[in-house]
Amino acid sequence: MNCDELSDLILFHAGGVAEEEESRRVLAHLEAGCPRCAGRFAESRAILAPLPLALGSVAPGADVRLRLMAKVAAAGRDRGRPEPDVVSRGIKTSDASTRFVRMWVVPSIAAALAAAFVGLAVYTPMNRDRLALEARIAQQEGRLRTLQSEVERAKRTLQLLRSPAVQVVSLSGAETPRAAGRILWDKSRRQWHFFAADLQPLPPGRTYQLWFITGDQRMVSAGTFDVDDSGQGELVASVPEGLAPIVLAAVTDEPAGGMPQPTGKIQIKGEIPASS
Amino acid sequence: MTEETVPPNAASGGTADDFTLMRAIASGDASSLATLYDRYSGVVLGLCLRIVGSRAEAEEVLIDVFFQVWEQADRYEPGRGNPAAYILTITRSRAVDRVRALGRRRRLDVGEERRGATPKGATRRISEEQAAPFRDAWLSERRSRIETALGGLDPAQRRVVEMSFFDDLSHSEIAEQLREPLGTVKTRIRQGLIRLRQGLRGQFGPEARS
Repeated sequence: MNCDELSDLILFHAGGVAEEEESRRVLAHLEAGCPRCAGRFAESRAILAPLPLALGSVAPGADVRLRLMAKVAAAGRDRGRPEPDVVSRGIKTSDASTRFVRMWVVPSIAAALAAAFVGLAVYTPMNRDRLALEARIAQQEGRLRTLQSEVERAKRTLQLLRSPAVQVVSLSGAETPRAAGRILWDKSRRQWHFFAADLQPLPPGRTYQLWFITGDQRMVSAGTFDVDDSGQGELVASVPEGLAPIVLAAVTDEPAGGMPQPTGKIQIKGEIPASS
Repeated sequence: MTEETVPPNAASGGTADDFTLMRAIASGDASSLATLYDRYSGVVLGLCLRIVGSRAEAEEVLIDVFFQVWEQADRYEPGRGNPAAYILTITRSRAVDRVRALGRRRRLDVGEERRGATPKGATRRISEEQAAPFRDAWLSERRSRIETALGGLDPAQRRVVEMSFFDDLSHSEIAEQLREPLGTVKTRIRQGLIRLRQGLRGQFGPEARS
């Protein structure tokens, strides 16, 4: 195959969509050192690589950054350390000086260098251990913060459940029979504490949205939330003043960021008893 | 934003800052890696999620990608592409490796679910820390050009290109899922990539200038 015939295969290969045999031919040609095709390959990669930008961004969890930086610290590579500053000084060459140098300076320098090597031999593993320990401490601190936050959340939920001013409303699956929700309606604070279970995690670019649906058929957004891999999610929403009595709560799936009115299918819903 | 000289022969499409960050990372500056992470982790995770499916696995791949950037920064060559393209190339490779390690059957099972978010329908969710106006504008502009180029494909071409490029399905798997002849799928991918190259050449290639 000549270069022109390979042009499209190079594009395929650069995009990672070439069959194995096609990739082998391209690689063999590139390894043969064809500069024109090497240029085509580089161009193809530069053009195709940013395609995933079209997929949009998804914010990772805060702990991911911590874990990455802990891994970097634990790798213990010391690439940025400045070299020791060594200044050479001229030494006068007289007989007495020469003897002095031979008898005292040279052995002293040798001893100092030996001590430095020993010190380095001890210091380098210690430094590596220190960095690894620091990384582990950073990780543990991160986990501790997460756990503390979860404990606080659990405490607040328990307080709500104990309060006589809180009404409990259950939501059940419309689209997904297993999915469920629970609202703890704190009348004293005009807040809904909403908990979801067994909702399907949504693909990037989609989110769940909770709605107040009033007796006069208005649908008011209570906010958006995401679920974790186990399908659990939660949301605290303020109930707006002046709304007509809320008769229904529902969750739909919507584009990320939410919508002013529901556009997706109802995933779970529940009736609000008349006494509320 | 500070203006810096773009290295000679460097592909444009990244900011000069990105090249500076890569040089700093190569000399062992972990804070530069953190800055690069803050800039591109959202895009990287978006691609990982598309290919891998599971959030937990995708975040592991995200860590692997930036750790590889850290470990191999001294091997990055500006003349071969801007840092964003370099990072995304590593991302795709790592995500595909992870999927293969997890087993091909799982990929096919979640294929439909993951394809639910098409590039056109995707909405950005980035942390407050990442919302620097200049970078936002740059990513937004690049995304817009790519979406325009993808929009220039006919729907059938676009679909197979996305399934192959974003979902890491082989031509045979795509043909099986779409119930189309293998030859038809290959031809559509070929035509789609050629049209993308025509649409994006001069936008992102080495000769492009921002």
